[in-house]
This record gives sequence, structure tokens and C-alpha cells, in this order.
Amino acid sequence: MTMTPSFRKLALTAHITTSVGWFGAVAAFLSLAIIGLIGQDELTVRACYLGMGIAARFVIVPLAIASLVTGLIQALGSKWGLFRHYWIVVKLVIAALATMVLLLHMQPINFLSHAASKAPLSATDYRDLRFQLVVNASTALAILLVAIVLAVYKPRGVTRYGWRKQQEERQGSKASSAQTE
Amino acid sequence: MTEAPPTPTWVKVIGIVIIVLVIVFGALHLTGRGLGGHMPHVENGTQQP
Repeated sequence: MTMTPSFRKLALTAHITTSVGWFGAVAAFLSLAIIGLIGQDELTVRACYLGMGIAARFVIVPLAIASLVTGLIQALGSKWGLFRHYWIVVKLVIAALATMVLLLHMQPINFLSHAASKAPLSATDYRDLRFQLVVNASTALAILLVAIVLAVYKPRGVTRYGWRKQQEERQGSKASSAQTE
Repeated sequence: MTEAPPTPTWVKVIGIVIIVLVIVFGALHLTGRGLGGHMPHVENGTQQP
């Protein structure tokens, strides 16, 4: 399955936009999580958790899913393939795990957002949970940065499957050139 | 036919990091310290123990 050049560019644009957007949204989420944890002003802290709930639901989750889907389309519709190169396999694992963990963490995010909408949060309220969100967002940011670096540098290394496919293609091209001679 | 090339070092390093993160995440989750653990109930703006 190979995409036409124009569709390939469209898919690549969508993948870059959603992936980098995901990274940026998590960075913004982390800044809110830090201010929510160490902030002194009650209104600011409430606003942070309300904003985090909205950002996670309407920006981060859709971008994560879109990044995963566009990445799959990009890999399956181009010469790169999904399981031929290690950097693509690692990116797939990172995107799939990060999306799964994000969906699992929607519960505490929604919980804090709901709690902030009901009453002001003091510095000690749900301290562990608030600290956990800072740690999780930091880890997610680092992992997504690795995925971006892999996409830009495309480090060498073919999988056993990719190597076997390369051998088959070489033999196929040798056989066709021998027939034409 | 030549043999398949060995797995690059960077793949092994990232693989180990991912496995460690998954184990830590799973352990925290199983011990009730992850994903919010025991989230208290919030009702009408008051935090219940």
C-alpha cells in the first residue's frame, strides 16, 4: 500500500502537527501542574486544575490519538513500513504506551478538576495526587521528546523483518534485471 | 545469504528505559500509589475522608 505524493504530504503534515502539538500541550499541562502544586493564590490554583481538566480532555487526548493514527497511516502508506526500522517501532511503542497511560490518568485529572470546581484547594489538599500529575507530565514530556528526536534523526537500524524484506526486494530486482538482459 | 544485522545499542538502551518505566508504573499502580491511588470523595465542595 503506497500513498500518492500529495496524500503522503498531507499525512506527514497531519502527523507532525499532531505530534508536536501533543508535546506542546503536555508542556503547557506541566506548567499548570507545577503552578497548581506550588501556587499560593487559591484562585490561581483552582484555575490551573480547571484548565488542566479542559486541556487534557479537549486537546491532549485528541492530539495523542490523532498522532498515533496519523503515524500508523504514515508508516503503512510509505516505503518505511511499520516494522522495518527500529526507530519507527520504538516511536510506535512510545506513542501507544503514552496514549494508554494518558487515558488511564484521565481519572485523577478529572477528579482534581472536579474538586477545584467545587471548592478552593488548600496547599495540603490532595498533595500526593497533585505531585503525581507533575511527575507524570514531566515523564510524558521526556518520552515525547525522545519520539521527536527519533523522527528527526531517524537512527540507522533495520529489524529482522525489515532486513528480510530488503533481501527479498534485492533478489526481486536482480531477477527482473536478469530477465531484461 | 548474509545474517541479519545485530540490534543497535540505542534500541537496547531505549528498550530498557521503557521496560523500567512500565515496571515502575505497574508497581505504583498495584501498590495503590499510582493513578491517584485512593481518591477521596468530593461532594458539594467538602472533602470527605
